[in-house]
Amino acid sequence: MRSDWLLFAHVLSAMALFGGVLAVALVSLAAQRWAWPDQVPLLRAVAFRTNLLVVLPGFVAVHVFGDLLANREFEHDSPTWLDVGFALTDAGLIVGGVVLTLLQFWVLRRTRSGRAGGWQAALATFLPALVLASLVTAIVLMAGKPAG
Amino acid sequence: MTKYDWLLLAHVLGAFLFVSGSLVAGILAFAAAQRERPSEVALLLRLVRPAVAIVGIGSLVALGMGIWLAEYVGYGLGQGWVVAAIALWAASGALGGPAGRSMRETRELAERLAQDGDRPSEELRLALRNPRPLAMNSVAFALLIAILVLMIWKP
Repeated sequence: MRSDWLLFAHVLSAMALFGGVLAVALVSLAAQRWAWPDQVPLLRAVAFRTNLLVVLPGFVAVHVFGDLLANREFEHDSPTWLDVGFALTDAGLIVGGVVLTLLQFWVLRRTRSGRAGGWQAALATFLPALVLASLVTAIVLMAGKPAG
Repeated sequence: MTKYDWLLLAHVLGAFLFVSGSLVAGILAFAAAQRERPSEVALLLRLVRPAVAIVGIGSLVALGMGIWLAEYVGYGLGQGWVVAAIALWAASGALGGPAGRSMRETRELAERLAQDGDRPSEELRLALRNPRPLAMNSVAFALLIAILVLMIWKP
């Protein structure tokens, strides 16, 4: 596979991932702050499904295509910005992909049984914003390629 | 970081906001189309507004920084792939604008129905599944992908 195809797949999956996390962050914030109590289960369900169907596959695709691309471009010695970028997406895959999906499933079940609040809901609202910030950092590293 | 790096970074961040904002709007519109209660439809479509703002900011930043970058690198604005990308950007906006207006009208209908008993309505169901704005949004999004193809391959 040519590097251009890998770069295209990597950037496209990164854009899908960023959009998915942005949607989860927006919907979770609305559920926590603005929605009426009877609207919270709907918003928590949208957040959970988006995380499961867009964010989780997005992280996997970004990682797989990024890894293939890095192996093509940097066969022997990878630059610091790439190592940091990989560390960020590794952490993002665990926190934003796996932990957040499970947490949102838990929050959704609690919300449907009438317990919409609690630290679980607060954490499910805060984590997407944190993941979004880590993705912005990764984009800055990938696009800006600071020295190293 | 050099000036080139900063320009590229701003261009890429703008492009990410452009495409990601469109995806957020698509996810929310899809979720709204699955609902029957007008209050739920209105809630989801209200959340599209911040996504549209993100699309607007991203599209302007991506275009402005892209033109600056093309001039700075020396490609100029006469290259075929640069002209094609700008034309696709304009076409995407031309398609997305009317589709966005249609979505706003659907939200306003949902809000009126929500205040008037919040019962499922055939008119709202048809508005949510109207194929024309759906097709326009889909084509507008496909044009964004085509711009990405041009940016990577630079034919």
